[in-house]
Amino acid sequence: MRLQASFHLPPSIISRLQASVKAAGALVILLGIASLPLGVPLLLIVPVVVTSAAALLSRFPPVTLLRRLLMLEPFAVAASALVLFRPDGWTAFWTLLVKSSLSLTIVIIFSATTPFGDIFMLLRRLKLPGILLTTIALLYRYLFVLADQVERMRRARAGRTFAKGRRLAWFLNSGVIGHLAVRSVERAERVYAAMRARGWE
Amino acid sequence: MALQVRDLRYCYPDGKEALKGVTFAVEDGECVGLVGPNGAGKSTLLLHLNGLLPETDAPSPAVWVRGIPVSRDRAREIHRRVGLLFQDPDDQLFCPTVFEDVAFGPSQLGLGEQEVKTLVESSLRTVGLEGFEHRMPHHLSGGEKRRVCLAGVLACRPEILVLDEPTSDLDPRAKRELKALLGGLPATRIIATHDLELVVELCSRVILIDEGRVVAEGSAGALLGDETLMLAHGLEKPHILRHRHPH
Repeated sequence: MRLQASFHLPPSIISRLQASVKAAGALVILLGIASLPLGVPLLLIVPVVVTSAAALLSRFPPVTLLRRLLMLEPFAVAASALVLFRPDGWTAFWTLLVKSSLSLTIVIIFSATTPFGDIFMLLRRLKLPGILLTTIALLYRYLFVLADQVERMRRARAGRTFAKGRRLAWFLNSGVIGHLAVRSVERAERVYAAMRARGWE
Repeated sequence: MALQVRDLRYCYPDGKEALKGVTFAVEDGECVGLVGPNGAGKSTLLLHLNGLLPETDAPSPAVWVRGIPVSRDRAREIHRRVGLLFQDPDDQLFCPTVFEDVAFGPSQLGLGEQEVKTLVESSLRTVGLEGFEHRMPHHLSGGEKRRVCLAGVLACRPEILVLDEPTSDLDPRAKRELKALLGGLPATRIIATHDLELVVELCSRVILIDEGRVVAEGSAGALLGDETLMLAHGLEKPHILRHRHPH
């Protein structure tokens, strides 16, 4: 697993837009998608065109975009499945699935074309509570550190694993997760000490 | 007197006695090396110098920073006067960008936005990382990370710098650059390290700690040159002292 920061996309019209403009645009599109009725699949053509245009303008490689979307798709499917109990279940399900996938695509495009720092500054300007901002910033910062740590631990284990088998893999992975949890707690303590050392109260 | 430690004792919550009565003093402008084997209590001692340990106030203070006893209610003042550089830069660089990280300390001190910006710029200039403001810590090399950490500490304008293994995990060039940087700083410095060459080059005085006690204290040349003493405490006479005279 290798985490990549968001701005590895080639520069595009969308990536050059200001974060606040992009966020407002994304919000308008999302509200538009959300307000479409469930039973009329033909109406979906409009958001499909808008989202495809956004994807093209952002110069997002289609395969990467689809791969990222697929990772989030289980949530969309699970949420959409709830409408299967309605009388027009299948139509509503497909419409809702397309709507949620389009919404996710918009969010993916927004987050991939906007550096985290810009998103963070935007949240700060929107006057989000300080503790929430600190949590988001720390989460983002340590995601990369943790991903590197997982990779190192996984490699170290793989280097000394000579047998194959799903059971063993599960056993090893659970060990990695356990170790990571303990190390994360220890790191959290050291980070907190470092914060206090520079005046955090 | 910049710093005074008198009969400092500390027990970890699991009962392990880490410090068993440490006593020493550091004069203004001095650069002191703190050496000792792994587990000697160096890092624990450093955390006391900045007031991060003990978690609750001891009955009587054991550390004084410029005459101020280190205690909970003076913590803010102590943190400002004593800058602590942690061993793992990833622990210390917790902000999303370099700018925010260096600005973290000054912003806590209640300085204005412009003042913080000027301070961040000058601190980054001091460590030779001008223009790194918008870089993300994850994308920096080990040496750069360490220097950003140092800039973050310097931005708080401390009178005393306490450094925990500043050259560990650095390649020779990064080590050399950091050494030059540390040597040029005017603050009182206390450097805990296994890098004995660094101690010989930068420190006028050395304190040897083992098993939570000060074992010996003296000039870098005399103390680190004593091979028997070094070997007895898990260290080695540094090469720079071995080959100082032509054979």
